[in-house]
Amino acid sequence: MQSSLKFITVDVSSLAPPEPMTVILKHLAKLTHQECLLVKHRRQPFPLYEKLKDAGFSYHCVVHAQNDIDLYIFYQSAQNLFDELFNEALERKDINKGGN
Amino acid sequence: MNINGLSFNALPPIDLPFRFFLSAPVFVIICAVLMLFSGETLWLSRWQPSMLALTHGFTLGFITMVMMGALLQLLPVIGGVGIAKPRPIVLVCHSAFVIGTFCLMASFIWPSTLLTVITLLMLVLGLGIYIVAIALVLLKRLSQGDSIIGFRFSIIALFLVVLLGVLMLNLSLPTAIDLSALSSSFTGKSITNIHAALGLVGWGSLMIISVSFQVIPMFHVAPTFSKNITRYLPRGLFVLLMVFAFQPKVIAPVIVLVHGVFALSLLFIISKRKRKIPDNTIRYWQLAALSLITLNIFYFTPEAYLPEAVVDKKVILIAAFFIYFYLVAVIQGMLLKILPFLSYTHLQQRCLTNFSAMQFLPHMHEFLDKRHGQWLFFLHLITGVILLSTIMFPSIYWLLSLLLIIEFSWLLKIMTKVTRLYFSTLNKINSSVNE
Repeated sequence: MQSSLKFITVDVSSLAPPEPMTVILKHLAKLTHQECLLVKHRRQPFPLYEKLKDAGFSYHCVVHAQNDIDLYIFYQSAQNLFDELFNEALERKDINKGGN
Repeated sequence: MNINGLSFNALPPIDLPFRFFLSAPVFVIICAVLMLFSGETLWLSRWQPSMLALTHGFTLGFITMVMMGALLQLLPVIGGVGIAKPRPIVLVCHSAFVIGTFCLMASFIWPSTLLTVITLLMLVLGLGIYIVAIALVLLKRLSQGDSIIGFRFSIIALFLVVLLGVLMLNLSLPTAIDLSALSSSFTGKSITNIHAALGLVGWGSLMIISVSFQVIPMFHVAPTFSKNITRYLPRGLFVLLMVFAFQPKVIAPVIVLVHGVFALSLLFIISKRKRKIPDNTIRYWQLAALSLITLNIFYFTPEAYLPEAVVDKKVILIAAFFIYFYLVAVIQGMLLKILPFLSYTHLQQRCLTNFSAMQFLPHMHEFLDKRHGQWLFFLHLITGVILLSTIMFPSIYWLLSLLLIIEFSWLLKIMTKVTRLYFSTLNKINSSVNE
């Protein structure tokens, strides 16, 4: 996935709570409307989801396995662009659809 | 699996679980004062009215109180969904449960119809609404299936504990229902044993085991438990408990053994964690696991090899050991982990709408000094040893009472410090938003 949405990847899977949230927050503070944060995590940060929406962000989570998830976070204004890029990548199989 | 735009509940407001946490040590302090005034006679038998008040002060006032608060927060974190309308539900449940537990303790010491009626009303109201609220969440399709299945069994066990408790309490009312008419298993002291087993193993231990499958890998970056353990252990334990009601002598040793298996797998998972930094919560988990193994050794040692005085007190020693070195130990350890974690997480989420407020976030260690947690752990160890000694030598009851007051006052102090720091930081963040 390339083009006009720049992806910034951060791996928090080996961090103990609340460090993953700290790392995510620091990156979100710098995130622009043309960027998407890809968080590699061990588990879904469920309580974060509603707060992200309230704060004007959108998210998309891909569960690959029980301890392997990809969480995409971007501004709600970039939703269409993200969907387009994500679907393209799915077709090219750049993104693993994951389990279940 | 792609998850996008599904409805997830945010964490309930922090003051809701915290009111359960802050109430819990107060009940143990009340128990310690009761112990001081009851003297040696309290330790003569488990059926002493003061001993019944004491055990319910511990199991309802401390263990259940903390678990009720923790579950409110754990469900959204683990399953992604919390209870609907948490504030009004918690306000009613917490108040009714506090009054009900206090009246129950009082009714054991000063039996009266009025106290019993108030106890019944308050406990049924408090626990009943809570069970329904949690059950409505657990009925949904949630992630982390094996733990959620364990939670379901645990909540069913709590429901049965309440049901049996209510049936037993009703015996002291003029309009009593005779339980022995229901089944020959429900006669004499057997119903109390079923009530205790369902409470300690079904509600207490089963919930702790199911929670451990999630929180140990999550908080300590450890591998997940073996699928065989997570899938079959909670289910197996629940089935055993159901059969226990009819065949207690056959099933009790199996329940003890199952706890031994859990303890071994717990120690194994802990030993495999990625970052082996000293951690007080890990110490508590290790203490709990080693205690369960010790309990197995003690339970299966032939009585011929034990002193007669120990054999006489074997049941009460096992119960005290299980409650203090396993249930209370894990709960204290978890409190040391989740109090700062929840405070920090709630504050962090506030910063999502105002990133500049991140400057006000204190360091995690400022919420809870590691040394303070360490002192609590050592206090717990000493108090536990004195508890077992008091069962054998009741004349030292005053020492146990004193140590309990010190330990749980210290826990209360730690909690108060976390709460104060949370609210002072929240005020700073809110002020910065309003500026």
